[in-house]
Amino acid sequence: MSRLGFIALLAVTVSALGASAAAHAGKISAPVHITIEARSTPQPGRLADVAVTVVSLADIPAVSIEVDLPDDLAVFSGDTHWQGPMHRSESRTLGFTLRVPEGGALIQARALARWGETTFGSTAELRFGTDPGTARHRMPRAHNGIREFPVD
Amino acid sequence: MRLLLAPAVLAVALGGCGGGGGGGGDDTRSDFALSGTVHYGDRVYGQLEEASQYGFIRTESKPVRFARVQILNADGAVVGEAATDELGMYRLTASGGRRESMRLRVLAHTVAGTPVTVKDFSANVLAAAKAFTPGTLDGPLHVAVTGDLAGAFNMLDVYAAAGEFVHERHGSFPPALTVYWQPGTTPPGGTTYFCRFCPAGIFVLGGRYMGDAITGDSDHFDDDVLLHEYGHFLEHMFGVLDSPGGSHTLFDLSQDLRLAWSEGFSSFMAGAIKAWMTERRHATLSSQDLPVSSYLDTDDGSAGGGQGLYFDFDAIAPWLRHASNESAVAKVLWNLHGDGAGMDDIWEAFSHGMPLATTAYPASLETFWDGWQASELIASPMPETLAAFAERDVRYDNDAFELDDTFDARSVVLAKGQAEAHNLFKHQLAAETDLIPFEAVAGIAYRIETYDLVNGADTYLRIKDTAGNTLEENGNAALQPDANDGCALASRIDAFMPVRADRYYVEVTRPTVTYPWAGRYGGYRLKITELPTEAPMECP
Repeated sequence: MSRLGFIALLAVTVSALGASAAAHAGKISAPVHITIEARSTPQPGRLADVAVTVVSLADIPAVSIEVDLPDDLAVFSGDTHWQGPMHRSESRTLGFTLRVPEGGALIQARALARWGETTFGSTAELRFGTDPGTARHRMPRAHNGIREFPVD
Repeated sequence: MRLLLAPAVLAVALGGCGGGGGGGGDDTRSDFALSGTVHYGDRVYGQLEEASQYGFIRTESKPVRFARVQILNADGAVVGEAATDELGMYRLTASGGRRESMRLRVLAHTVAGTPVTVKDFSANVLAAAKAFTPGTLDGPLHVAVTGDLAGAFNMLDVYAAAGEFVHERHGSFPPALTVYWQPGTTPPGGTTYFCRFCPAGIFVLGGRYMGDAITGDSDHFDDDVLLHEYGHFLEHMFGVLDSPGGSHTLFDLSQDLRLAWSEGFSSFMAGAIKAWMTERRHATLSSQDLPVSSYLDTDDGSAGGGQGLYFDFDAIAPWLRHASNESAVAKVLWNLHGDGAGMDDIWEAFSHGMPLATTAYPASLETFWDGWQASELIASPMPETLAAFAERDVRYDNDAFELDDTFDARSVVLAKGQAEAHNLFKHQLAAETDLIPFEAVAGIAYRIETYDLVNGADTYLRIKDTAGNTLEENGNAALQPDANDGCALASRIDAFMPVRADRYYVEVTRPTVTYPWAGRYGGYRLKITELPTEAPMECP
């Protein structure tokens, strides 16, 4: 199969499967689902309200929610951490306000569920004005079906 | 031919193991010998200094085993080819000029043992290439693949070892495996997964670029995740893969039996392969001081490798049980595995017995058990085997009322308000029928119900008189049953009111038409409740 054909097959198959990984045998998911979002369009230098929401998919005796902020990013109000038990389908939201940095920033929110030695983490990210770059830009060109990366 | 060989021998003699001989001089085209090693930087994972945290603890150089190595001249033509050995060493003879700019290319593709290839999402084979000039070499040409590209060679090594494990079990290497991955990129399915047909292969999270570094969730160094997906590949190639797939978690006690089996088997297989590696390929093992039954999925591709998910399925909580929970399935298989002696039996049931059983029923822990029972080659003693299942409350065994299959067999009646626990399992793969007698009085209404269904049980309830006539029946109390949650597939007759006092029978069987996500062997409890003759007074 040509590479164009391969890519077309990949695209068609994934499209047919829908957004989820249904029909894929995927890796184990954490029993907590976390999202982070800015509640208004963030403008550099202005204040923004951010919400971190965690939904528990099981009864979990100990859940901790942490928001990891860059050192130069100040939070004006609100909570950036919480811990406690969560019931199945329970939702918990942390809200806080920060000043959107001029140069961009990455905020990571993380929920960690614990049951004894068993732990499950789930992470969500919010970017302010940061170009994450793309893999395509960094990939060397392929030739004759082989993509070579120079090494030392 | 003689003229061509003469300078080749000379060049080999001059170059020794190193290559093209001393620098300078003419650029006569001749054969030259080249040798060296290929290594990659593997990330070793274990417990971090912070208590109860796990992640990458250091980078360790490991040989790239069995990979195809090529020499290409300035025109890009392959002028020499070989494969690395167990120690990552290669030795080859190539043709070219001493001053010619060449490159040594190491493909993420194995040519010995199990064929494994790592490709990007455009189906290009990934490779590491190192430029050299034969005449300037004065020793071996070593290649060190570092950084994120090393992930491609880590996957190659993990799956090469897994193929060796299969070879010991099965007598042959598994069919070719293709891994789709590229640094800084998420697969089309959004996570790491095995796909049967899109095209067939294991798709692995490559994280994403943030500046020059890869961040976010990547799995190319998460060997436990890689081996879990390899379990699905084995299901597809040697067993039966009936799982609907999709998102799944360890804590879900009401999973589709096919999903629970597939995921539990794959988690178990990751542990079984690591147990084998500990004994036979210890150098390839990337986990340090962690139980082989543990599973770590880091969620940060950076050097620290933060912990995303960690569990040890040999030490899971007691409430994670039944064939409808993937961690319980993994634990049952781990119990059977024991000190490793049981792996041959597990493989026999999985690869030979189970495919026969699944011609009639979907792949699940039940059909694994069918395959186990049907195989004449399995040597594990039955009491220990049943105990391995019972430890997670999976009862593929006769219950305490097994003499209740006929009308005359049982004399003890079920008292109203009392409950009995039964299994819908019967040895020798026979269909199970439970006939439970009870005494009923004319004019009194009785509610008869099954409840607390476990292990994927699906009940069908009939009330019969002593002549065997069916008086009332019910399949599922729920209108749209959709889960093995203990309730959805239960049966209930709300008000059975006999016209005369007599002995009656509750007959419980599996339904004729079943759901593919449910099972045949599960357990249930039965209760008969005498309803009040008058409606209770309702307060305003």
